[in-house]
Amino acid sequence: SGKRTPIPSSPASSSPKGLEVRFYLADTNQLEYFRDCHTTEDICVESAKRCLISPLCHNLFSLYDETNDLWYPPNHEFKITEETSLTVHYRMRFYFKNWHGTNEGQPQVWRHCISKLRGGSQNIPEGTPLLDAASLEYLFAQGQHDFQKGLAPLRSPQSEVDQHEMENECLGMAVLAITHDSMNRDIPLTTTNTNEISYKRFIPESLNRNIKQRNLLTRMRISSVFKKFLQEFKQRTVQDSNISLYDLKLKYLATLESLTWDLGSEVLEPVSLSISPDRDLCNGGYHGYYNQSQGQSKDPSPESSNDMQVQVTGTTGISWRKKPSNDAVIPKEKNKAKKKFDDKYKKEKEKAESWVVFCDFHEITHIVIKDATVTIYRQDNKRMELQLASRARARALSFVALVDGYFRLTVDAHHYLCKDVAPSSVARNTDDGCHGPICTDYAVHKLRQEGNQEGTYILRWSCTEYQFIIITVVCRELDLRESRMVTQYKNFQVEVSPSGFCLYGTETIRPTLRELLDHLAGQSLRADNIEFKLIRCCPPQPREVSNLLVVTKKQ
Amino acid sequence: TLIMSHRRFIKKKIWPAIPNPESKFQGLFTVYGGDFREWLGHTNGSLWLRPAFFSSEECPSPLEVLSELSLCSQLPT
Repeated sequence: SGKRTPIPSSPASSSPKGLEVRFYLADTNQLEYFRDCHTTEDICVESAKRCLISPLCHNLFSLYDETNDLWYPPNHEFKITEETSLTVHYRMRFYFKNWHGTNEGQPQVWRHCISKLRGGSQNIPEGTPLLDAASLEYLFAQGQHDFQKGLAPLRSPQSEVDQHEMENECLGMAVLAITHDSMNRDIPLTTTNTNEISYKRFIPESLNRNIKQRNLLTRMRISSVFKKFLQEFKQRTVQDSNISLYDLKLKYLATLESLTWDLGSEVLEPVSLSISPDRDLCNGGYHGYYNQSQGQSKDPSPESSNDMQVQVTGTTGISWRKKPSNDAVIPKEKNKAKKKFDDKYKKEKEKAESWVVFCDFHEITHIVIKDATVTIYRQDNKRMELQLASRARARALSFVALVDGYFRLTVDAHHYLCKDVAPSSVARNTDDGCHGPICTDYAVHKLRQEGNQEGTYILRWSCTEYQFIIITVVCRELDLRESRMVTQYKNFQVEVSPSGFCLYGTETIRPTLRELLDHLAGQSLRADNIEFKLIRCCPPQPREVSNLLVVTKKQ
Repeated sequence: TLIMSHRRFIKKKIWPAIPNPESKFQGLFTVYGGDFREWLGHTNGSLWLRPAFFSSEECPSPLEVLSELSLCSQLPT
């Protein structure tokens, strides 16, 4: 499943009218917009609903322009007229390596979990998984697309043996994808079926081209060995042993991570890069780079130089390096030159991989975009300045939206670093004092922290539905058996619709959340047999911990 | 040695090593009898997430109907 975007129904698919949003899920039709103005954020919510992605995971996704390799910031407005002809892809942009937890030696990735806050015992998991089932499904489809079409390029092999290993791995990926595909579509796993399926559609196009250049005998051998293995896999693993779609997806995505070199990282090549105020400070061992390099000679010295690269990943933050001079490819050299080459290659590779961390998302205070320049400010007043050239404004916004998005995912779910890319929902929630989709555990935890006074309440978006806001209120009730007052937390629902904010179960509707709450605050309220008032709202605090945050390091 | 390496060269040309997915599933059939989950658990470290553990969406909290007790006299004028 998920090989390609669905085939558009109109024959003029090359130049669609209006705005077309494509999905990687095979059975999901594209979204189309023909008029009006729509923000990236609104379109992403519509897309998430279509793909059944929950409000909790929806902020991992964004809109991507494949042609220009650009992402639209969440506040981008698509003004659609009769002349508009634009295709974008709905993609998972924010990615945390090892979210599946199967790569040993790499830090694990979790959503923050309440038991950790309470200082729970050792055997309680550190958090909850990052992805919901629908996001995993989508990522699997996207991963297949990227793998096959070369959007997730394979890492450079380190030797001939390694290259052979990688080819094996690619065919292994094909086995997983074909098996998943046929199980998902409920195709009976018969022998004839296996014989019809070829690995060709399921491996990277580049490898397929490479294999096509080999002689006929070799190709026939590859084909028959593959079919033989696939057959055995289907018989012994699928039929006899009940393999699950879930296991296939996870294995596929974990392998993809190790097979590609930059899954989930974005690299930007500014025309110039500078780190100020002082380069020495920058190399001062703050992130351990100085210690490794033992001096300045190896230091690429970023102070206002070109040929630089800046990389952003969910787990490491922002780093930079001098652009590696030559993309190391295995040359077709004679054997005696080989060892020499391998050594040289190794050194090159080490050098090339020496990204210098500029900062973690926690250390950023704010970001400024001015003309073609992006400046990232760190808490210690150090700043990184990037000059951009081609499509400077769009590229700047794309880049800053990335950093800003990771900031919300790892540091502060309710604030932004740069107004130029801030999603309007974040600003709106701040105005309303409303939390994102934090779960009940965190809402209750926060109310306790705030003193548990009767009438204290929290506003939060629903974790499961896009159109609901939940009010969680502290109430006191007389427990008749124990004849004392006990604290209770009551949840009430507000439905958000174009006509306004409506309190569940009542006729009360107001054009804004603020007006609805102002109205309710003036009333005595009753639920079951408890009477209470809404007295004090607890808005999100800066850098507040909740299930909206991803923990990426051992703390 | 020249002849030997020449023979190796010929053999490599006619019967080159080919990619085979099997090497990436080592032990799956021989050690784990085709049990993919067992095999995964042993090849990929201890932490293999269970599907049940994966649904991070909480159940919606029980909702209450809120009624307003207010009488006209209680409303601010």
